[in-house]
Amino acid sequence: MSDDIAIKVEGLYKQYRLGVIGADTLKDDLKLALAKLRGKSLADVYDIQGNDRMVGDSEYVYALQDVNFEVKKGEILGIIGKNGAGKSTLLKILSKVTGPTKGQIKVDGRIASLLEVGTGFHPELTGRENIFLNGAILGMKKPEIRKKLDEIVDFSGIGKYLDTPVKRYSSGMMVRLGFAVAAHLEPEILIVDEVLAVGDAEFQKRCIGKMNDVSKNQGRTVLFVSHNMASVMELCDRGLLMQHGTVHSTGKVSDIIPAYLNVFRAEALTSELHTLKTRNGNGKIQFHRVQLMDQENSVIDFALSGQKMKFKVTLKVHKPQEFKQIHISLRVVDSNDVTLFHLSNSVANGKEVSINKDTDEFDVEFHLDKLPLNSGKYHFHLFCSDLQEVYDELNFAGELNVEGGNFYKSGKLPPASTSSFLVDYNVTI
Amino acid sequence: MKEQKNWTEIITPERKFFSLKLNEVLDYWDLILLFVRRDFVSFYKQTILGPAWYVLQPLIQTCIYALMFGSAFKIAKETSVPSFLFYLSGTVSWWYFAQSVTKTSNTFTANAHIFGKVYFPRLTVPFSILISNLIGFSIQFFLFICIYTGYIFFGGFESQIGLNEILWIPVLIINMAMLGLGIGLIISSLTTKYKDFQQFIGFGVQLLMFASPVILPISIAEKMSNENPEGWGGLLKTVLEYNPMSPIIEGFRSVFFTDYQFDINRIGYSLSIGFILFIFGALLFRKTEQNFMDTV
Repeated sequence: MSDDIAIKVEGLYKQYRLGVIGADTLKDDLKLALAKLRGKSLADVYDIQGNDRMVGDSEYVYALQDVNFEVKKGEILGIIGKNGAGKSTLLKILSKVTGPTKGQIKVDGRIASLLEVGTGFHPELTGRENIFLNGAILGMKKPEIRKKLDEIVDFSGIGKYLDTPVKRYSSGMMVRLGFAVAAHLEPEILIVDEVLAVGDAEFQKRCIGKMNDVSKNQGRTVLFVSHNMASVMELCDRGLLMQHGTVHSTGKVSDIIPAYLNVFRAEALTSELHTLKTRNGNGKIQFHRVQLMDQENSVIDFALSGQKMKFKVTLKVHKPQEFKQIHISLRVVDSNDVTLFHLSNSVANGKEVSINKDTDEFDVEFHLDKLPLNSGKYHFHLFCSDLQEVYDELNFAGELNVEGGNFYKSGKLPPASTSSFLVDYNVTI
Repeated sequence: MKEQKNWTEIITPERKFFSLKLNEVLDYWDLILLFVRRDFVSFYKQTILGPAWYVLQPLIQTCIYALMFGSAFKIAKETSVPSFLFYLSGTVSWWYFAQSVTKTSNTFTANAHIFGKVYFPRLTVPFSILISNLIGFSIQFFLFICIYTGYIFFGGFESQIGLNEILWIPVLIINMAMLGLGIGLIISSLTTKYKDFQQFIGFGVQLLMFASPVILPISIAEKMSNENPEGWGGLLKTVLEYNPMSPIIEGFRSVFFTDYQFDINRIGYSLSIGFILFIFGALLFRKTEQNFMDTV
């Protein structure tokens, strides 16, 4: 009945302690030991039933709460979710780096995890020695590695650097070597965490190809965690969306990704940006408001294909001071979070902008002469930084609804399902 | 409803305290050897003297002891053993124990970056340390034999090697390994939560050395104790007698010097302490490894 199941996660909880571990920890440990002596379990002491992620006096927090799911053999499962949704914790428990607080995971097959490539590389050892060391750490036997050495070297493209200490390698070479070793593991279940975020585009393509090959042709199970929706879509058949330490939903990737983006959108529907909580950056300058305007400067809810329009972004300076070389950008993405175009002051004007110390609020306007989008729902990300630090970063800062307009002056548009981007061109016959 | 399936593994929060899973460690034998190689290579890479440091370190230490304590305790007059040889035998046999304790005692903290990313039996790391230290010990032991023969040929010193006692050397080494590993594992498990122990281990090992016959032979402690049974002398003698490392160092000396008697009861005492510490340390280590990433 359950023969084709590779991983079964049942009622998984993981608790972390907040704050510093110090003299208080000892006191807590004693308290816990005492409670255990009186026959209470850990769960009773901290009241796991509570639905709030914070329990008791908020010293303990649940990174995972009642997580249940199954993975079938030969499946590539993409695990997605916002930062702090519990993805990494889940992977850590699956790869036995840390243990669960409650619940269990049943596994059928050998697991190898790739939370980082090149784990345990020693800078003084040569590439060859590190292949063996890294391979052994990942659970390969010496003869197994020896058999695959040529393949690994070939895949990594290290070639003549094989007998050079890896401390002389470039960071790219290290990553490639690390991935090459990992890719030649032959576990029944492979766990991968965002390793594809590194390396150049060509190498990423090879990695995806390799992972596809591993699962499709060798029938192995892959769990893949990433923020990059494009690679999740390309690679995975099924998706698992995590939110606040629980499983939000599972299903086909094509259904899960829109659900994931909706999680962001739910927060981002307002044009008042200062209320948004999920932002990165140090906050010295923050996005305050964003408005879409037409050429008469009136605020619009939606735009038309080919319309002349602008994004008016208002930024607030937290503590007025002089800022130099500020870079502000706006990135428009489609429903799969694939970037369609990217607008920034430093690209358009060829230089960054400075702000004098009296300013506490300023506007940036991105003017588009002809909106190059087909009808549909789009979103945009906002980003503000200087050369050293990131001031503010807002993903899914707002929605951009586009209705079919007269882009080509012919009254016609290509079908929106096949082309979201419009290009100015003409045809001669 | 009952599961019919045979799962390869079930990950649960509770783990049986009494499961060492040593067979799993043996599965990773290749990894242990690679760790040994890594430690050995990285020890002498980019040093001018390279592996010679294994030899120089005990030599320098022995010279210091011989100069500082050699005349003070008049060991040469008490026994027929040259003081340099006496101190060298002590330092060499102490070195293996001390290195094993200090190096294994930070297993978790020093390897947190690897342990946090991938699972393999954590015991492989301390075992590999034991083996790399064994290499260092062999080099130093060889040095001792060389100097010992040197004394016989050029120093007018007569060989006192006891052939029966030689057979006990492997037992002594295993005993040292168990003691060193046991203490190291206990400390490393405690360090994951309370870093205080890391501070303690540095001078703790030093202190333990002064409470062992490395510098002071038990015969002298006995003499001091006879003169002053209530005071320092008596205390020193008791401490020396109960220190589980004492029988090992005396054991080594009994192989080479006739002044020292091989005492099977004392060795037995030391062996049982070593065994208990090792088992307890390994169990505690296994218990700690599951969740240490959350606290380290």
